Amino acid sequence: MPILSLDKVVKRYPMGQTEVLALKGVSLTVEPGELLAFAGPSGSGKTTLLNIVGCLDQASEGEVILDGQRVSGLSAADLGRLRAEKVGFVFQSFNLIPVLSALENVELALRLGGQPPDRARAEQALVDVGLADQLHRRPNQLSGGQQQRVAIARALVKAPKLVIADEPTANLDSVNGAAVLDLMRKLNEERGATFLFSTHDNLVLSRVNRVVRLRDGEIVADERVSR
Amino acid sequence: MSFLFSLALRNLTRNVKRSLLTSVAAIAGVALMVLGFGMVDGLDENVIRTGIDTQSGHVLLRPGGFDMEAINNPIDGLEPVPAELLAQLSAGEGDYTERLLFDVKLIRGPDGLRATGLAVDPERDAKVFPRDKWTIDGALPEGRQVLIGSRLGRILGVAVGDEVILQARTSKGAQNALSVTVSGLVTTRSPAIDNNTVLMTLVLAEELVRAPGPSQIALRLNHRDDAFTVAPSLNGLGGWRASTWRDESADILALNDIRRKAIQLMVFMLMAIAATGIANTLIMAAYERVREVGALMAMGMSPRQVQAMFVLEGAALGFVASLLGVLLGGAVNYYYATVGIDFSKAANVEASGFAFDTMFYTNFTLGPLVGGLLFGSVVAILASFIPASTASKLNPADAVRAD
Repeated sequence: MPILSLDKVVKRYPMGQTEVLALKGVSLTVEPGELLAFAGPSGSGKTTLLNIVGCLDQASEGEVILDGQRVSGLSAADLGRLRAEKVGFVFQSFNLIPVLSALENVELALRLGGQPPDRARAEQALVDVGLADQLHRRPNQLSGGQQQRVAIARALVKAPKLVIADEPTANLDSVNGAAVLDLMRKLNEERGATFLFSTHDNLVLSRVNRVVRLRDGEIVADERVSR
Repeated sequence: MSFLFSLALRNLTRNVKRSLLTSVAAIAGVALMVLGFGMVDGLDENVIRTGIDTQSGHVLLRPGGFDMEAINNPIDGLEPVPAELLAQLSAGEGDYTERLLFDVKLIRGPDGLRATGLAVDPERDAKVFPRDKWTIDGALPEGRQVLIGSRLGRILGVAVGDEVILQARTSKGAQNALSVTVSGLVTTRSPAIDNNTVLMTLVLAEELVRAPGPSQIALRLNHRDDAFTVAPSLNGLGGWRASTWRDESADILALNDIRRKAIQLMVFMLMAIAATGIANTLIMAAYERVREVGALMAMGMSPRQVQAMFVLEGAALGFVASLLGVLLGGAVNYYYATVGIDFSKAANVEASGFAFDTMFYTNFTLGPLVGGLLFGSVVAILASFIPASTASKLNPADAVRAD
């Protein structure tokens, strides 16, 4: 069974008196364990697509099925529960909570995921991303690469079915960017979690197994890459 | 909920200076509330106790036909105390004392001052009106002696052992004068006595004004609240009217109520400013943390939890500010409740009509402290709802990528 399936998904945004068509009937199937990147120029619909598959936003038309559950028509609260249970996010700007330590940031994801606080599990998640000696540092005491590793640990600690990484290397130098991508690829191989990236970065494209190219709200290419 | 509360507390430490500045109005409002109410309640208690201890006792009886409004301390038409009233007083709870008040002129050489003559049985009177706050330079009066309020004596330049003349109108309207010796000068901390009273025995007053009976009977009970049952039982007996200590202090207590309302108004205004500050700070925090809120929502935090996080942040800010206000107002209040404020220098002849202890103590009780803490916290919680609601309505898709 596919982890994600999109059928003729349309997204319209009101803009003044008119509407902007951000996605024009996108259909796509993603199998469990895929490492997939959405690529395309700005305005192509990558972010809109990630928002919809990540349950941050709803499609205007079409059907989205995540891990066997129909997403279309769910309330904001139900979407929130679905995100907490099945989706992990890694953001371009890390979006860590600055008043919490690395460990507390990771623990927070467990709590919000409706799981009991589990310090050992949160610690292990940070050990897995190579931050065993940075557990109690706050985000402002960590480098950009380390912050993104915390964000990855935070996304993965609750063992989500789907990890969405929105331009995860955009704020990192090439060395840190490559290290973060290698880490995500390793976790993808070890844990079988499905990773969806949105990117312009060739570094990302060179490490994924599938590249879906978008232009003006439509899929123009779907390339599988064997590595 | 506990992790939301913990997160809210951490968020308060992001910008400590801003949190402190926001708290200033709330601290001031709660401190004013605690101290202001402590002062007014202390003033109430001062007036009540001083009135009871120097003027009214717990129950004050006056002859029914005695017209208090006619002139000061009228003595016309006084009669001996009816036997049935005396019998009831003797059989009832507590101690009583008969007092005769009249206008008198105190003359020393070429100088003279108008004063209030107070005639009592010194031994019996002490059981109703305690003298533990009295300081007597000299002795209590006997025979043809008078005890003069210390400030009155100072103004007239009288010393212990001096001869003075008492001039007064008798109950029949004739003028009378007696030469008496000053047995002592008394400081009671009550301006009404210290500034204006000449104390003497009933026997001497009888010789001076020839009144056939007292103008008042004051009664001291085991507890002051007993007055509310005893006074009605005595009222009308032998044609005498009975009033409680509360009736006697009613005018000044009503003035205190006005003071209390003025303080309430000031507290309300300060807390309105505090509420505006808290709401403003939280709105700023909500806009500064859009991306964080977006990330929390992306991780599954519900709009209700976002709202709770901001309300808890406001509540924590309000609680901490209220606690500081309670500590500040409480500490100042406790100091003045313990050490007191000496108003003796400020108490002048004009204030002589009021029963007021010049050593003023504020009232320190737990009620205003708890009330201040609750009030400040509730105001902060109410002020937090609008910013909390603003934050909870953020669209997570936009919020996670906000600039």
